[in-house]
Amino acid sequence: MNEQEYCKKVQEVFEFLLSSSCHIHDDTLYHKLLDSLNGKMIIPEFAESCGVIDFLQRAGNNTDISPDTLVFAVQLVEKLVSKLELPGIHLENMSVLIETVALRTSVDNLSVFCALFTTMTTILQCPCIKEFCLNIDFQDILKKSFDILKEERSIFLSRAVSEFICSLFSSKMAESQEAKKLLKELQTIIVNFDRDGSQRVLSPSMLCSLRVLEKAPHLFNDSFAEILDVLIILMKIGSTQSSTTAARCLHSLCLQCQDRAKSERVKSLVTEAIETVDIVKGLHIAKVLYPLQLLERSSLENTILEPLQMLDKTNHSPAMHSSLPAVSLSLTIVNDCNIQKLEACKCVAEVLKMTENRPDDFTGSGCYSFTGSSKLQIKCLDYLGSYTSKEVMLSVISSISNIVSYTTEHMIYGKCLLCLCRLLPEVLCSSCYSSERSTVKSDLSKIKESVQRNFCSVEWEFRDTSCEFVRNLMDKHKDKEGVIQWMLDSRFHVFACQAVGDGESYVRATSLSTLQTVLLSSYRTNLLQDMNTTIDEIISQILDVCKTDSEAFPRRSAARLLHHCLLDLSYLLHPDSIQCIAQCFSTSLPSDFDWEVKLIVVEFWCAILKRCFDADLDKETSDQPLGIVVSLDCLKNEKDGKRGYVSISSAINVLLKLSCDYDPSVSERVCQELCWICETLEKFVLKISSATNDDNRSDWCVCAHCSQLITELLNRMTEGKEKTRNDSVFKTDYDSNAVSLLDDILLLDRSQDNNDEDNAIDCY
Amino acid sequence: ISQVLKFLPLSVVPKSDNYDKKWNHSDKEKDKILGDELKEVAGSVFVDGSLEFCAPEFGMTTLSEVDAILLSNHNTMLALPYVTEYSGFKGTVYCTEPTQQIGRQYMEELVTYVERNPRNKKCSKWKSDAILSSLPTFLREAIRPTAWRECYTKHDIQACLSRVQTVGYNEKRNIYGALIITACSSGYSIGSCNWTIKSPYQKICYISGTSTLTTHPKPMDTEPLRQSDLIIVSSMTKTPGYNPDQMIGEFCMNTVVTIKNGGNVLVPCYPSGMIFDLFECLSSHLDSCGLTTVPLYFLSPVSDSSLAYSNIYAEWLSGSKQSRVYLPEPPFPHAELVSIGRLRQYLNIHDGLQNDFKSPCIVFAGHPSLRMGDVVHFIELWGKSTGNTILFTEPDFPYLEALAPFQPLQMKVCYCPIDTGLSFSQANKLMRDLKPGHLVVAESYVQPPSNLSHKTDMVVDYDPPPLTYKRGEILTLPIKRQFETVEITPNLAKNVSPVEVKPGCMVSMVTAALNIKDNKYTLELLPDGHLSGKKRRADGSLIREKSYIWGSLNIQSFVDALTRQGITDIKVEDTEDGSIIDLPNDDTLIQVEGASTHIICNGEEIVRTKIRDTLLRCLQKL
Repeated sequence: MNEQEYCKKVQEVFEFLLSSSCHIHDDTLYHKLLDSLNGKMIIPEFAESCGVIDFLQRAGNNTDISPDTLVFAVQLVEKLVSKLELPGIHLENMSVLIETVALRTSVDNLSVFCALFTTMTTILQCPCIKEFCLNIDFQDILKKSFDILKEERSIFLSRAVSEFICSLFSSKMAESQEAKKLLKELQTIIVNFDRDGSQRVLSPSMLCSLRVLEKAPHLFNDSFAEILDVLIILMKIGSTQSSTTAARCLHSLCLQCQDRAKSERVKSLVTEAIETVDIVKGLHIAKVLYPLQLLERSSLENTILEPLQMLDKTNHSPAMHSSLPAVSLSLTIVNDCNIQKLEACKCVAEVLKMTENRPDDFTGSGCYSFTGSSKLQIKCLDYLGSYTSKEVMLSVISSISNIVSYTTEHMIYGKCLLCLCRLLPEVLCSSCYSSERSTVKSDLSKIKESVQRNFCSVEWEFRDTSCEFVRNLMDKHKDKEGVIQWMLDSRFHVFACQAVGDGESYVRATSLSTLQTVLLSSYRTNLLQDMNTTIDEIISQILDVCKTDSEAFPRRSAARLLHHCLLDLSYLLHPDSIQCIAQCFSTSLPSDFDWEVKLIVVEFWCAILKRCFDADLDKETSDQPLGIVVSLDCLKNEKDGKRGYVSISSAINVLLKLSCDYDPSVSERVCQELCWICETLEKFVLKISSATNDDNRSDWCVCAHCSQLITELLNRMTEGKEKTRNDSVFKTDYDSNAVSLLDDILLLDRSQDNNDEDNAIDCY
Repeated sequence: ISQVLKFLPLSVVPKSDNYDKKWNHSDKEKDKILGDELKEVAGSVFVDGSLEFCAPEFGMTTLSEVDAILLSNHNTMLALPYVTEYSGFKGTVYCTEPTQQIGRQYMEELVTYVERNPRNKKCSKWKSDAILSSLPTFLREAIRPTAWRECYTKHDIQACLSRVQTVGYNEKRNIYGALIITACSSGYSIGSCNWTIKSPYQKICYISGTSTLTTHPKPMDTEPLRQSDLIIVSSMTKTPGYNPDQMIGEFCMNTVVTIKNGGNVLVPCYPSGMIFDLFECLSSHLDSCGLTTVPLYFLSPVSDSSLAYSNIYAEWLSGSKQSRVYLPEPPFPHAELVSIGRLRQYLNIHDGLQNDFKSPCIVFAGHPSLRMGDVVHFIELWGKSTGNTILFTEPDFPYLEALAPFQPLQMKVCYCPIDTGLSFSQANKLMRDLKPGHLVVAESYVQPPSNLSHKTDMVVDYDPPPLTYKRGEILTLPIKRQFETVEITPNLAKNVSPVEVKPGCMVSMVTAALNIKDNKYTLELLPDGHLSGKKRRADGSLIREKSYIWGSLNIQSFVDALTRQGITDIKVEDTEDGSIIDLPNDDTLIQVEGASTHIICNGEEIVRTKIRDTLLRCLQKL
């Protein structure tokens, strides 16, 4: 369809949208149309020829227009004004639409007004804003926006208006008389704030005023003292949200303050306020201020850690129970603000210790309201997983050993293991570990038992997390002999790899990934010995998973494992195993239902080809990396009597087949890969006829079959490039054919339908 | 049965060296009397004699006068032969059919174990008070050891079961006309039941061995237990601190860990009940852990009948199990496990086990007390290896005491007691729902368990506070038979002229003979010779026939009647409770209230009589 036809269809759609019969229930169609038009409106003339300008002009005058279409029109204005340099006349039309909507539409149409203020917010930042505003009564729009705020309507609308007002003061319109007038009103709202404490939750207008203050504090210099007074009161008596908003405003105010005395006054008042307010509110304020530079961090840290430092496990009075929210919040802030200091770490470790027993355990060192609290445990473990000082390391290990032995929440179990994984190297190297009196050995032994048990847990999440733990240990500490030895002694690797036959697919997948990590490490011999098996037996088991497992996750992991085994461990494999893997990647896996498995197949064959080509480019390294990749009959001749297992032509055949895969992700990826394969093949094969004396290329075959294969490869690659250039592939239907979207919208136009379905009688 | 723990185990393969060390009493005299009755193993002292069992205490009641025994489940049946065969009991035993069959299996297994590897030496010298008091605590705390008896025989079992009458759920059985008993599902085991005992005006429920959890048996039926005057609750969970769900998880987890580490798992068990759930959960967990080839061996002298019976009692099973029957599939998955050879059952270790035995494996064998049965052999065989595990799931025996004669033991020990019986919270919830008039429980249920004394919520709590009983105490239940239903013969009924005294309530005088037979009461016409029409007292004096007046007095009619009797100037004054009639001329006041009439007459006797007669005429008579 040419441009003219397209424009005609767009105009038809606009006609339909403007008609009173327009009922589009699926608003995604509006969004898709908006995106489609946005992509095509590159020049203003196109907008004109499509009838967009006309549509916007008529939309403003049409009183029957549906609210959804009006929203669409307003959003279209936003796209056009922000994207195109529109001529003055078009801009005027759009201003008129905006003004009409703003001043004549009922505010009850919340979606229309939300769209309007969002559009205005964007337009405020456009270069043409002054021109745009020339044609509208900006004063009235500002008044309307302020009225909406005061009326406290929908939260979404209030937010959109608030954004608009904030944006105003950072735009070119900030200096306008209208803006200055509005600013005064905002200042008045803050200054006249009810200070007796009755207004604990802030009104939208107050919130908006504070947002403006936070973003542009310099505009409020005139009434610094009064505003400071209000903000401090807000911090003290307001709700948590008010207090934190006030804290942010105070920070802004202080930042722009040139006068040192004023700045110091702000700081001292804030410090005093934090000390005055209740502990939870103080924590909220500290959380806001910590990343900012308003107060000294050390003093804020004291505030943040105070609830944790107050805990005294030997003297737990009932009053302590009330501090649970404070402790919880304090831990959240320690995590959020990433306070990685010894003092904080000690406190967190202490809290973890207090939570370490079962909730119903009264026999331990006492019962607290924290005992067994999973919420606190998660927060503590989050922190200790990222930072643990040496001083508390053993205490943390002890707590972990207790928690993992009883926890029924796999999240906590997983976090314990993550934390343990981080601490293990230091713990095992510490002098305490070798000390006879230390309890760390028994703690680690307890952990070992718990992890072993959880490998066999009834809940698959525990089994999965345990396998993941082994993989983490191998990944992160493969060079740390002590850690690996501890793991091997605990037989975790055996448990993890035995889970290949687990009943839950996620566990099988994780087990296979762990098996891959272990096999590719230098500890594979330990695994094979401990499992009393050979690598070929394992490969055979994995091949079974690839072919028979009903779930995609294990097949993906199995394919990945085979991929790496063949590339990196081929020298250990029996020729039959290599043959089976190659066959699996040639026949079974390319027809897998899962697209990710097919992507692994693509990666596999690309890696094989790359090695083959690299080896040929550098004869010195050809023997080792090439290894298995010696073709039998095609493309590459048999060399030095070496018999190969993986044929290059079969690799290319698989890739060619996958280039036509029904899944766009697979075909796209193959087409990308074909480019470099073709380029390399051209280098090796196609030039053979013109350079027959070149020894380096003498082993490449140029038989008719190979030539045909290469020609097909080139054709496919050209086809792929063409498609990519046209941007017509790998997209959804609507993306690839914008007209179909228009047709779909027009189909909703019931007035064109000759069959009067309303007259049909529904029997049922 | 827990007293068997005081004895040395009966080895399947006799090896005396294990239990050869004689225990020496510090007092030489006593030591001489004791002889070699006691042996010492790893610091503990055991009786080296034939196993003895604690029979029911017959002294509490005359069992020959007991008409019926109601059995709740197979667990409560083991001592039945002692009652039916050795106590003079002449009544009938009632239970459900599965209870009878499974109970038979339990008893037969017990007898087989005792008879198969007998220890013929009977030890009784240690029981004498003089010696017993000086023995180590474990033996000293034995309760009434002199009353312990040898195990009954298979003949006793047969004779005992011949006294049993089976009932179905909700089937009404009449006990000598006095009571109607009904069994209703208690959800604890196959065929387990709670009993309702009803008279026409009273209802007592006996709740014992009940589970509100969903396992393999038919769920508990609470409907028949409502509107009871009294409920007796017993046999709640023996392990209130252990959640059965978690324990079965622990059981599965520990089994798999052991198997994955190359060890064998030994599960001491009974031949029926919880073991079916263990088979099901464990096999499914083994599957999910990829251990599909690990064999499960089930050893019991009744293993074949136990597995077979479980699959034919579909109507006694849970809904999900029943629905499998219609597929048609066996209700329990262990049938399939047996058919594919994954679960193999043997009568004992010599029943071909050695031909099929493959390690690592999981062995289920009896007896949970570890004093008899094939389990003894496996502990002796596997006990020395740290790789093996013994997993206790039956809560009947303290596992450390059970293991004591096998110490030192290297194999891992796990205690995962699975008792689906009512927990305290479940019992309290159930009682709040059933709302009985009175609740009767054992004394131990109204205070927290001794090992969990801080758990103050682990008590039976009810309003009114539960009545408690304890061993050796007789409790009078707060329930009395005040009314009985009496039938009237048609001939007698013909002569009765009832008068309606209030809507729906008719009254009549009747003279009849009360006939009582089989606890049924019937009013019949008096025999001819007795129809004299005159009643006599016991001393022979005549009783004057009198009529009974009833009804409320109509004041106006009464006043009119008095006027007719010539009494004049009558004044009537209405009060809160009735009326006062003043007869000033006769110096008389008549106070008429709802339930009484007072005549205060200071005048002549003739006036009083006149007033009395007038009043009686104004009332109705029977």
